[in-house]
Amino acid sequence: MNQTESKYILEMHHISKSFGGVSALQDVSFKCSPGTVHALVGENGAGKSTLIKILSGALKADSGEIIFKGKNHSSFSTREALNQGISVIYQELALVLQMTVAENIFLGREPRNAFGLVDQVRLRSAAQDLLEQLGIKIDLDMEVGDLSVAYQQMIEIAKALSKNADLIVMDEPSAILAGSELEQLFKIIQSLVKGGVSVIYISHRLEEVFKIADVVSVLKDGQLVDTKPIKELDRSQLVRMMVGRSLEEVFPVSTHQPEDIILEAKNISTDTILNQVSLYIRKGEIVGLAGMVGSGRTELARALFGADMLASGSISLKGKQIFLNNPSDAIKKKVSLVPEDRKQQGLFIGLPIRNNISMSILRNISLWGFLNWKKEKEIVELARKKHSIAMVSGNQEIQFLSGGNQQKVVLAKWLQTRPEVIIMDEPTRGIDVGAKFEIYQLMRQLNKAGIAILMISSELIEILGMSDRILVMKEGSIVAELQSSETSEEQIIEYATTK
Amino acid sequence: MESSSSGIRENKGLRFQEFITGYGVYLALVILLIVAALITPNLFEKETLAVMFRQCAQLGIIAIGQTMVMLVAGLDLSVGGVIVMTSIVVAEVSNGKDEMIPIAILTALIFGMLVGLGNGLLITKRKVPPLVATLVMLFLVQGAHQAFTRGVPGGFVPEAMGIVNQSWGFISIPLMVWIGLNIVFIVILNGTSYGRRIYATGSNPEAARLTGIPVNLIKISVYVLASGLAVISGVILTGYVGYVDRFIATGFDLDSIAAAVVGGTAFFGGKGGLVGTIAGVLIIQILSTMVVLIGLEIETQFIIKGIVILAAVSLYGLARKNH
Amino acid sequence: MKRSFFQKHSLILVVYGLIMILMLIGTFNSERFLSLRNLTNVFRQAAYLGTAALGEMLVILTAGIDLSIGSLVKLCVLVSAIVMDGNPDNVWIAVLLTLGIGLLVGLIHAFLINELNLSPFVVTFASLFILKGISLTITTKPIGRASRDFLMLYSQKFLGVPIIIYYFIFITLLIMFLLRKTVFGKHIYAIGGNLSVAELSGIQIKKVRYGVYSLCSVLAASTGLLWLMRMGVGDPVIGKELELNAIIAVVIGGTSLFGGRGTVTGVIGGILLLTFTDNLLVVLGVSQFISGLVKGIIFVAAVALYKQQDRSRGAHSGP
Repeated sequence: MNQTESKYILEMHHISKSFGGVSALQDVSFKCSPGTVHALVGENGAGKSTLIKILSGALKADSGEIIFKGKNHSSFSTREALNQGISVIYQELALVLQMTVAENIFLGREPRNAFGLVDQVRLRSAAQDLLEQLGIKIDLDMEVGDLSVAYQQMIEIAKALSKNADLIVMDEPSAILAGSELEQLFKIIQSLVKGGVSVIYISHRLEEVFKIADVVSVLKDGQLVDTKPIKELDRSQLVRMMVGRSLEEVFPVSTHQPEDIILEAKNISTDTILNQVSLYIRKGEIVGLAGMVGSGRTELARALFGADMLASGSISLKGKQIFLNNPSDAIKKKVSLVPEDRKQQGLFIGLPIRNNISMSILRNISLWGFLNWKKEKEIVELARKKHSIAMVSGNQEIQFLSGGNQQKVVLAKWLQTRPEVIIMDEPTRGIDVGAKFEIYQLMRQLNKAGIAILMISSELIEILGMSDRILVMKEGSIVAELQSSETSEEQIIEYATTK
Repeated sequence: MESSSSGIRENKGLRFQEFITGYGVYLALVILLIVAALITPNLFEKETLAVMFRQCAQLGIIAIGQTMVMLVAGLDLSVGGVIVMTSIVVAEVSNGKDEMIPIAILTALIFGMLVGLGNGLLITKRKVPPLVATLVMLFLVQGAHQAFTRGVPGGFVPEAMGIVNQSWGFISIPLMVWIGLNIVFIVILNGTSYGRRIYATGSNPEAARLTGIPVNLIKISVYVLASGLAVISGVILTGYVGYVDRFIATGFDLDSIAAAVVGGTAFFGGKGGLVGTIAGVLIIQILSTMVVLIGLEIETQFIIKGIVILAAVSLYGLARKNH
Repeated sequence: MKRSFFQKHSLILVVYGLIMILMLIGTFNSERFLSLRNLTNVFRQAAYLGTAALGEMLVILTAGIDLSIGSLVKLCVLVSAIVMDGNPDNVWIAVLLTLGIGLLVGLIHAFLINELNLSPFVVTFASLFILKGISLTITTKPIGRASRDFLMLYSQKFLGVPIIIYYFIFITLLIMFLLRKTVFGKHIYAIGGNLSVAELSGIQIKKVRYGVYSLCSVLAASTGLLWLMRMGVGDPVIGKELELNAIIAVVIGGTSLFGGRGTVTGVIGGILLLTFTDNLLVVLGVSQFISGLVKGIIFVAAVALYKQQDRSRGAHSGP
């Protein structure tokens, strides 16, 4: 309270936050100087997004204080945070896709003329100015839904600028932007900083942190490890700060040698993005699939699973060509997909756990269409024990479980089909470290049992730690195949981004 | 430690919700019966009950189909049209001859299910919202009635169809059919893999597809079943009335939706079921009967229905919000 | 990357294309069709469906729906006829009271949706029953009487055009103005396009809902007054299935039931398509028994012709 002349634009002191007894942030203090890029790094689940949500007013801290521009705010409302000049650009962009570029930039704050009507002239000229300031050329009257994600992100930045934001928080922009788009974003960030704006840049990609940040703060397991000027750090120091343990400690070691090829795709293309992709997976092998969001990783998974149709190319299983018209064909051939978005694609949120687990094998637990409840109960009980799912009973609705337990249910559902190939799209997204470790262990067990796993992940540490082989995708094609023992994060990023 | 404590809390929330969504409607039904016993004791006279149960059966059979459609996040406004169509087809095909009844009913079933197929195809293949799809199908079916009958329905309803008026005490054939169909469809929804797939499709169609469930086929089949059930209800109504009446099914489409809603089936799919709908049907019909017994204008039952719907959804909403 | 004019407006083009085809059929098969008299007739009829449909459109743009407008029109016809009761002195009271009922109903809808967190579908579904119940409890036979002057308004013309058409044009321009020029209009699209983004942008969602639902109900109430002008009595048959026809006109006019997308131009197209179909069937002397079937086929074809496009929503969609 005593500092009226602070040299920091933002100070967060001793912030703590827990969810239902689980601590997400513990006594985190964080300071940010004006006109700098402050990187906030850490693994998934380290507490980065919780901290940002508290800053933006979306969450309320259990304890601690926030001082912004010298004023103490014990807690922000979203509106206050905005009015004070804090703008957060989430990965899930806050845009109305059906509205135009100009309308989106000033949504909720439309300039009005003397009659209280929307002042179209001012709206357009102000939007034009902002876009020019950012050096982007877009038609103001285009619907935002027709723009690429990269441009949508730029519009979000323009929106933040239009609010006269002094502090812009960017939540992992590199997860959705790649290559030249990211370069352009960096240029924009640099010009913003020159103009006195502060940027908090959240990432877990080290390379870009070194490229763009002035200062870096590292979060781990809900605690602040340290804040340091980037110049005082080198890569290995930063990695140690982030992980705090060697990779072997986090990831169970593979003791298994891959066997024969089980699934092979030759020159497959789809109408969407996939372009002549070839790959193979061997029994008992984990193949990591890296690449930017939008590089075609998910599309590849869907094509291999029959969820999207092939335009050309062929897929063979154990040397025999197979034709997949829909997921049901793939499931019959013992191929499974654990989808990327648990809520949208994996779970039946309003249904009991029991139904969720048995949904993939209704045929096996029914006779002439009639369910055998006893058998189902046994299966659910077995899954609960095997994957240590914390649940009350099979009748409990799945929405009451934690993210990690939900993911275990999704995995359990797929393991019921006794798959020989499992495609996992971001298997540990949004779950806590403990559950993550359990899932890694499970993957190793499956491995040992001869099951082939194709793992898509945005977490390079995970890719490096778990995979036997790594495939890198870019713009719908596989651009590199690497042995995980002989490669590094930098190399993967280089393949994934450079033109 | 913390997992066990949160487990208990979850359990409590779960129990409250389960109680309201599962049994709340029966609690309301019991209260309603007590109130009825106090203010309109003549509701429990044999003749009154007989009439009321017959009406329950007619509405209830359609409500079974409506509930299933709503479970896949749909809606069927065309059921009334299918009932009238059944009446016309049965009279035309049989033309009063008893021995033609099976063929007449079969024909009606085929036509009815074609309507259901049309609904299903518009919704799955053309992505038309169910409200609009079933509405335009309703207009099409009504138009077809008019074109076919030229305003004057031909044919006669066979006398043997009057069998549906057979009753023993308040137990009538329609009531037995309603009970029978409910048992069948409750078993289907809860005890078969098809039923599980219906719930899955309504709860999350994308996840269902990725789990290998033929989502479109499930949806189409449900609309076809709903139309089939409307045909059965139409046959009963036709036998009951004994002639072709264009207004035979007025209000059934909306009432069947109301019954399902009051019974706890949600519009967004995957939630609810027939056990609730049975209570919904009973509540609506008891109230309608009471309105008459009290001596109010029969039209006031619309007001009461509306208020009951609002009260029911508010209560369910409260239960869902509570955790 | 940018969609062409034709892609962007394909739905509207389809609707107006269909109207053109109907008009060509009419022109070549009937001398009466293109007559001034018939055309004014069509447009006057369009006002009846159109006034209500434009209100419905506003609600649908916010990803809501109003199933009660038919019942509300019914109630308004009755109330205005009863209050007016043939007495010219009561005209203003009747008009104001009717519009007031509309306003009140709309506010109640919005209140229940906003404060009790109920879905628009359920609220207006219940309201459909309640308003219908009130109307039919009041009467099941024609009741009350319009004053002579009020009745004359139906046929009254200005510069050769019925004044009801001016009213319809005024409402159309008003809604167009609202959607295009005002902040309120922009916020309607934003709420329907993405509710949480609208909320994050500081848009007062509840206020917009109050506005939209009351406008819709007031427009329906005014449709009730138009019916009184035409019928001269309060006939409880009026308003039957109006909401359904209005929804069809709005959807055929290219408005997404999921909200956020739709234009007045399109909806006017939908209204005209419905009205012209009716008129053409009469003018061509098509038997009234066949005309229902023809209409049914046109409706099914129109909704089947295009897939409802919807990018903003995920896998889940209600009815």
